[in-house]
Amino acid sequence: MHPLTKISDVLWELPQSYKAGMRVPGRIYATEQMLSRIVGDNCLEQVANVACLPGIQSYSLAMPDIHWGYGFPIGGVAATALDEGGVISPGGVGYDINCGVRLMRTNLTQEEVAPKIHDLVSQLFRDIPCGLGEKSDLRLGRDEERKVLSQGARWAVAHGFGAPEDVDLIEESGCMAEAESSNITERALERGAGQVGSLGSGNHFVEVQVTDEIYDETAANTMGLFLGGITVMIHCGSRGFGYQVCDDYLRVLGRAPEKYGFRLPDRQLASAPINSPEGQEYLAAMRCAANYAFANRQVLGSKAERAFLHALRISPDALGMQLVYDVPHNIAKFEEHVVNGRSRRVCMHRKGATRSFPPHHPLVPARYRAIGQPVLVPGDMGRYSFVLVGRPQAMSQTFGTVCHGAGRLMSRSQAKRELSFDQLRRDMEQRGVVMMARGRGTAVEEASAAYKDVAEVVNVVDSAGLAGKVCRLRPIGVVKG
Amino acid sequence: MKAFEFFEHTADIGVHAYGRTLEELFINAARALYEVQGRFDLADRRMLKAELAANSLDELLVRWLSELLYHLSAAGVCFTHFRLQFTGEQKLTVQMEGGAVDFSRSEVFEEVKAITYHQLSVKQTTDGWMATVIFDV
Repeated sequence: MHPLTKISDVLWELPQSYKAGMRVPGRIYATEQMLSRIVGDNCLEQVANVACLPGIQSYSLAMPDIHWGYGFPIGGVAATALDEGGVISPGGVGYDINCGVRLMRTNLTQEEVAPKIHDLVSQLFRDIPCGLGEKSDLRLGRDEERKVLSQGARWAVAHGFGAPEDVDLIEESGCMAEAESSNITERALERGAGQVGSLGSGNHFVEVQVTDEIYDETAANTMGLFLGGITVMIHCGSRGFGYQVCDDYLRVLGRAPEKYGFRLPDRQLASAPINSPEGQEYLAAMRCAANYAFANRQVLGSKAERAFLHALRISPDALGMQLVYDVPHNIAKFEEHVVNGRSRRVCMHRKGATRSFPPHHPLVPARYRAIGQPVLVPGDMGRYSFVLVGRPQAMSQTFGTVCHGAGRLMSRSQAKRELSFDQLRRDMEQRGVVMMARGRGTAVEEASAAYKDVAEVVNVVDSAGLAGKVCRLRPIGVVKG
Repeated sequence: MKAFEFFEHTADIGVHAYGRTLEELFINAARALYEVQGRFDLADRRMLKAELAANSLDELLVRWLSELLYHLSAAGVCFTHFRLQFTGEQKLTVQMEGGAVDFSRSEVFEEVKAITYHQLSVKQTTDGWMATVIFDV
């Protein structure tokens, strides 16, 4: 038995009475089949804990890729209201601030790339520093690094990484305003100095993919995606800079609940009122890390383009690589949403969740205004990823938010116990995927079998009307840290 | 007595560390942190002294492990020998010896992003001390 009440085939409610201190109920998007895993994974407690945050509005939300995180569940979403003592929580953003996904399209077809895929993946693996200890070839002085923090992707474009029009196709135009670097610690700057343009490890990746199914021809055309066409997907965030910012501010905000007179059930949910000095300082620092991540993905995208040109020996025009979109999925930001019939400014926490704004929303780039914001949902490295577009119901039900990935099925240690690197390599070969990884153990932890089927996850948000499927992307080349 | 063991956590890595003394507990937790990340070959020898303080013993464990993580992340330095001295429950003076990692000759696993506070605990047991900590990877 579980404590959830069925609202629809894909929506369940965790009643406010589930746990003392909950200020709102929880709502979880999932099928009945998904529930047993969710209930057995500790994450309902985390949904309940998030519901205890001061100023939280409507529901503590969980997306269908929900799994046990720290503080917030992965796939957790909360809107806190400024005018109701709402708080900002670093635990609702995570250590990898503005971890996100970038998708680029090309003119190339699978037939053109398949014969050279080994060379291409080798080139990407050489040109993109990945894994622990691999530094970027960019080593920034402090003044330059502070420009990254204030300018985001624009810094990268100004230094020859990508095209000026790219920034229009990045959430927040690739740069969060009010990023204030005066309170950033020397340690964060030091960790960030050599990591712009590096991938890191864990679940971060660069994938060469083929569009193998199209569900919405109009939206796919608008994004420049076509059946059999080659795309590149990058998953990465703010690297050591963001981890250090989060760590620094958890210490500061850890003392805030006592100071401001509220209690929280998990220290990892450390929070401060949005308008408090601590809350404002964290927000300013978090925006610096978000901008670092926007710059990082812009540089990585440009490095990937150069690797294609070098490995395939073709012209930029023939390659035709263009940014489709770039989405953060670990972030906090202010947005206008209708709550109980009235428009309110709320602080959206998306921890492993993606913004999904519908057609005609003013924050959707002009190119996509008629179809809705592209939503990029990576799956696992053996099967597929999805592109969706935002739908109007997302605004009324989830503060314009959907899932961010497949979600893990096995813990990392279970994956390593049950799978071997050789098995993984054979499995990837059978699937027609060329993989290069810096760490064998990390690669095994990221095997397909360790993840839920992302198709089940995106079908939930599609049938709930939160986002509509546009196309499916199947990997043929993977670079892992 | 085991030095440490990993426990199941869906997305990250959970560690139980043990020690007959607090010093041994903290050193074993440090070894678990390095074990997750690689088998490192060191290119030189370095010494470092640090003084750490926190509001509680378990937060001091996070400060300690975060200190080691910072040196690995920012400068690629790994420490192998430690002399720890607790001055009160919430203060730690440490002398560490190690060196710069030669990544070209090391076997690297995965980067720990941070030491989390989720389910964090440091407890006295009949045999000594036990800590629970989750690493974000």
